[in-house]
Amino acid sequence: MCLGIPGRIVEIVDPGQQRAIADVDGVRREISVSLLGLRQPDGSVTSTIEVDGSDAVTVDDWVLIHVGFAMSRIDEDEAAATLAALRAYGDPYQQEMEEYAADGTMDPLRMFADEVEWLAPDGAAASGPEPTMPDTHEAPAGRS
Amino acid sequence: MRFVDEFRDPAAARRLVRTIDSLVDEDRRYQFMEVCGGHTHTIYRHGIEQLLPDQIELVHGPGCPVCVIPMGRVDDAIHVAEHEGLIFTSFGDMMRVPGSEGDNLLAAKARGADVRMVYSPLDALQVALDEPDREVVFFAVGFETTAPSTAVTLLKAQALGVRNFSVFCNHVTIVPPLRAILESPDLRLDGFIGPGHVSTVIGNRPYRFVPRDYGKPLVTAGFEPLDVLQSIEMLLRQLREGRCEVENQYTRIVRDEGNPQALAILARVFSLRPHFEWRGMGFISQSALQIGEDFATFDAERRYEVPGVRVADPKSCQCGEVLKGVIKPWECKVFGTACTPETPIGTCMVSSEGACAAYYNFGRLRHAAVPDDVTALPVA
Repeated sequence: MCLGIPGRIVEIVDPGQQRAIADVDGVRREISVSLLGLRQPDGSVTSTIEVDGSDAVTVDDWVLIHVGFAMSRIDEDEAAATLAALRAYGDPYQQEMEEYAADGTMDPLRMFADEVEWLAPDGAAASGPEPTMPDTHEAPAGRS
Repeated sequence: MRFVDEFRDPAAARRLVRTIDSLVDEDRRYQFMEVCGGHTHTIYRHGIEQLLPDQIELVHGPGCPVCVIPMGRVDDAIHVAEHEGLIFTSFGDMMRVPGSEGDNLLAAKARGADVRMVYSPLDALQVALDEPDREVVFFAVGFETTAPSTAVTLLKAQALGVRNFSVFCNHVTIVPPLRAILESPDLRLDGFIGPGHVSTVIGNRPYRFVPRDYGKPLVTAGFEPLDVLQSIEMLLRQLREGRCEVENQYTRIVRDEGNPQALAILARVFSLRPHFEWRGMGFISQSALQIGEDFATFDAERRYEVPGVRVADPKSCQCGEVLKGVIKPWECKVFGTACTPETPIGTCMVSSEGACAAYYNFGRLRHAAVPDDVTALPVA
């Protein structure tokens, strides 16, 4: 969640709502550009909030994306270098990309499937048996 | 210097390490705090500490928004999530953060609560639009980096007249804990590596009190290993030259004035809480945001009964001392034994940006793998 990931704006889907499609490492999803503003073909800037327009973006611009919002405009070289550095992060980057790629909501029991066996041994989370906790230490004592 | 090969520009990294060596006064010790958890992760992931002279110690700060949420607030979140028929949405990072007795949102989900992960607060609002007959709550966490996104989401909810959406607000601000750390008697820091992405929003000006009132330099830094090395070089140079200023290493992203638009909507949507509890640091005045009067109908704390019980951290957990930089992760009594990333007791072990998780995943390996005198290795 804390990572800023670089993406390229490939399409404006709704200028009024500042909705755009961004491509991050080949994965596309909708983001909001309202914190920066949208530069129109005639050079004017629109946003749902008051912006000075100095960072306004349009198709083909690169931005740093955080929780579905374009936070800063960056240049292409910076984007490529940042992406390379993030890939080297390993797991946190994989997790961020998995969440970025999700369309709508994610089931936490599926996202953390390898860690929740002790919560729902049969995979039947909601209706499954009472949670059992690991006995190796006192940590998750749970409410049972 | 084997790990330097992974850096964006290995030759530049070697030059920086040599410059850092030349700037260090052999007879003194330097303690620099990296405020942000992203920096902590980079430092361990890339073995930065092993590249630095022995005189320099990096102290890990409180800048991981997941790590600083106290147990009582997690309990409150679980309490709201378990309301009949309610959909509770949250970033994935919060799912395993322990409340009291080790309970967490993942366990609440397993018990039957409708807890869903979202990537963005806008996705949470979309759930409310898609399911108008159900109440939807978004668990908002994060520093000033993240708070504007929640603010824009609330503006949109208000504009659309959405009635079944609210936010359990736990947004925090970075300056008050910095001040609290500077007031802490058991710390003798020589300077700060300032947070990068928070500063894209708030800029560099809010940090001016650090040199002015406390005589410590602060350098806002990016997240790559080269950024961290360069910020350390800039701090050392200030100390060597007798300067004490706020400097910006991350000029490619951070402007001195930040993002004034984002700050304006923060002021419009939120107000400051009189005080907020930080895990391990206690109550800090005006250190968190609450939803303002104009958006009161979207405030989950007004809409639902929230227990608001303060829960003391587990006795065995020393997250507070880790967050203040008083001890290193491996000095905690339960580190790596009772407390691991799979079964965390404290929050520092939950988030990948928490100091304990970062050290658990990378630091132990690096300590064993790096030769003592890295600068003696051949230069490419």
